[in-house]
Amino acid sequence: MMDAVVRLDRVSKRFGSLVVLDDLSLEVRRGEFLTLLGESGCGKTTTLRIISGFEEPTDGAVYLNGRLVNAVPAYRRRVNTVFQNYALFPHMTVGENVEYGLRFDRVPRRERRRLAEEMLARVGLADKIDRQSTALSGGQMQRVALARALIKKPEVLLLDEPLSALDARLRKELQLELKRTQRETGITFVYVTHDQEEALVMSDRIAVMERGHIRQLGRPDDVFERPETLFVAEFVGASNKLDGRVVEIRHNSVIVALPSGDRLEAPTRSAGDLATGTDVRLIVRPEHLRVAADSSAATNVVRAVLEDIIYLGSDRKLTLRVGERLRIELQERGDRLPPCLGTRLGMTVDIEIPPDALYAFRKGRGE
Amino acid sequence: MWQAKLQRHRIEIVCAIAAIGYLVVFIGLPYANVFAFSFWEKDLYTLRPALSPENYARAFTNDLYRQVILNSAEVATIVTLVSSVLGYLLAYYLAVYAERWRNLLFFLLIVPLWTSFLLRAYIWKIILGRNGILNSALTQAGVLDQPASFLLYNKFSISIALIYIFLPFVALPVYAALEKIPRGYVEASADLGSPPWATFWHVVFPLTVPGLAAGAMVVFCLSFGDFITPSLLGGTGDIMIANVIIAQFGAAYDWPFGSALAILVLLIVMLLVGLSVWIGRTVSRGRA
Ligand SMILES: Nc1ncnc2c1ncn2[C@@H]1O[C@H](COP(=O)(O)OP(=O)(O)OP(=O)(O)O)[C@@H](O)[C@H]1O
Ligand SMILES: [Mg+2]
Repeated sequence: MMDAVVRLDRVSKRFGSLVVLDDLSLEVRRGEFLTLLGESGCGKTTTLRIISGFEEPTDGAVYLNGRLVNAVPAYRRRVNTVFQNYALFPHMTVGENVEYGLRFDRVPRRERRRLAEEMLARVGLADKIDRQSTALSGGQMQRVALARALIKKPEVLLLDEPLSALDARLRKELQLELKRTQRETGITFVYVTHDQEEALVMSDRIAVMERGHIRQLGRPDDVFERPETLFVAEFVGASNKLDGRVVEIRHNSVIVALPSGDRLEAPTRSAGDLATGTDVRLIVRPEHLRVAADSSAATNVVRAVLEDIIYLGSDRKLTLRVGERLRIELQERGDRLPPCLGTRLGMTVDIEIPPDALYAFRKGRGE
Repeated sequence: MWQAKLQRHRIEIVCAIAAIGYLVVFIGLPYANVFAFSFWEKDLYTLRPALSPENYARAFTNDLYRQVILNSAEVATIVTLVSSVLGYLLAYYLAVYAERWRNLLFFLLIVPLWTSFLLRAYIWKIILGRNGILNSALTQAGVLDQPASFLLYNKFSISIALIYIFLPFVALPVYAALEKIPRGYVEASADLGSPPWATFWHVVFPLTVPGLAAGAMVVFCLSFGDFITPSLLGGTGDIMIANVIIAQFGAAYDWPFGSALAILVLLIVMLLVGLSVWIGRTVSRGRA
C-alpha cells in the first residue's frame, strides 16, 4: 500500500522482561477508520503510544507519511490523541482547552478563539465555550476532547477507548457521531476498543490483537465472517464452540465427530493441516443455526434438547444441550421459528448447522 | 433515614462548637486582649486602662519603628522569594526526576522539621561564625588569609538561616501539588504540540500556584514575625519588629505600646497576604 499514513515495521516493545508488542507490523491507510480490537492488556494502548511518540519501540521502525519518526518527540508529530479519561486541563475553560493546541501553531489569539467556537459548534457545545472544563458531563468532556484534538487537523487521530466511561445509550449515540465526524473530516482514525460490537459498527478495517500480535487485519465482515484463527473466531461475535475430532477428509471439507456422536461437515478453508485424528474446535455463530423443519432432508443436523427460550424483542435466543455436556445457543427472528416451540421445552429438536457457517480450527496450537 | 440525618446534624454541631471554641479561645480572646491593651496608657511603672491613640501615633511618628518594620519586611520578602524559588526547584526535582532517591531526599527535607527551631537557627552561628566551619574551611583552603567576619551578625546571616528553616514550607505543598498532577495532562499538552517548557508554563505551573502561594504566605508571615533568628544571628542594626515587641513586653514594660506594634504587624501581614491572594487570582484568571 503506497499511501500509508502510519506504518509500523516489525515493532517490538518490551518493559523489562515483559514483551508487550512482538514483531508487530501495521499499515494505516490515509483516511480510513482502523480499529485495534483486543482484550485488556494485549498492547492496544502501547501501540497507540508508539504512534503518538510517548513510547519508543524497543525494536522496529515507525513511519508517519513515509518518514521515519522513531527519534521525533511526541510534540513534533502531527498526531493527536483523544485520551481515555479525556485529560482536559482543569484550570482552563472549555474554549481554552480547545484552542490550546493552536498556540503552538502560531495562530493569533483572535483566530484561535474563532476556530474554537467553530469546532465546538461542530460537536454541539457552542454554548459551553466559557464553562470551566470540570463542569461538564462525561459525554460533553468526550466531545471537548475530540474538538481539542481535531482543531489541530492531525494527519492521524488516535482514540483510546474514548467511549468506555459512558453509559450504553450515550455510547451508541457517540459511536455514530464519531463515525460521521471521521467521514466528514476525512482524517485517519486509529481507534482502540475491547468492545467487538463497537469495532464492527464503526470501522473500515479491524486489527484483532492478541498478546502483542495482530491476529487478523481486515474489513469487519472479513473478521466477523471469515476469521482466520481460532482466537479471532472466538473473540469477535458471540460464538458456539464445538470440540471434536477429524474422522474423515474430503475434497474441500472434513468430517468432524462430536463426543455426542454427531458428525458434522465443515469446509477446510485455508488451513490445510487438518489430518484425520486431529482435535479441532468448530466455531459457529448463534445466528447461523436453524431449527430444522425436516431432519431427513438436510445434512449437518444435530439432535439437541431445548432448554430455554429467551425473548430478545424481535429475536429469540434458544439454549440447547447437545449430548451430555455441550451447550449451544441459537438466535433467530421470532417469526422464522416453528410455531409452538414453547411447548417443546425439555424435548429434543433437530438443529441444522449449515456447513458454510462452520469454522474448523486445530486445537491447542500456539500462534 | 431521619436518624442518619440527625446523627449527621449532631456531628456537624460538635465540629462547629469545636471550631468556634478553638477560634474564640486561642485566637479571638488573645487578639481582643492585645487590641484592648494597645489603647491603654503607661505611667512610669503602672499600666492604666484608657482609650488613647497615643501608642499608634508613637509607632507611626518614630523613625526607629518604621525602620524596624521596613527591615522586617525586607528580610521577609527576600526570604520568601528565595525559599519560593529554591523550594519550587527542589520540589520539582523530587517529584519529577528523583525516582530512586525520592524517599531518601524527602526524608532529608523533613528531618530538620523534627528538631527545635532554636537549634536550626543556632547551627548557622557554628557554620558562619568567626571560628566557624565555613571560615576554617576557607582559610585552610587558602581562599581567605584570615577568618571573615562579614558572614555573621547581619541581614545576610538572618536571611540564610530563615531560608534554610522555611524552605520545606514551600517545598512540601508544591511537591504535594506536583504529585497530584496526572501524567495525562502533561502528555495531553505534548500531544497538542507543546514543547516541554511550554507545558510547564501553561499546565504544570498553574496547577501548582495554589500550593506555592500557600507555602510562600506561611514563609512570609513566619519570617516577618520571627524573633529568635535575628536575636541569635543579627547585629545590633538588624533587629526585627518581633524583637522590639518582645522588648516592650519584657525589659521596657510597656505592654500597651507592644500591643499597638503587634496589631500593626498583624494588619500589615494581613494586607500583604490579601494583596498577594488577589494578585494570584487575577493572574491565574488572566492567563490560564
Ligand atoms: N510503562 C509500563 N511499564 C511496564 N509495563 C507496562 C507499561 N505500560 C504497559 N505495560 C504492560 O503492557 C501490557 C499491555 O498494556 P496496554 O496498556 O498496551 O494494554 P491495552 O491493550 O491497552 O489494555 P487495556 O484494554 O486494559 O487498556 C500490560 O500488561 C501492561 O501491564
Ligand atoms: Mg489501554
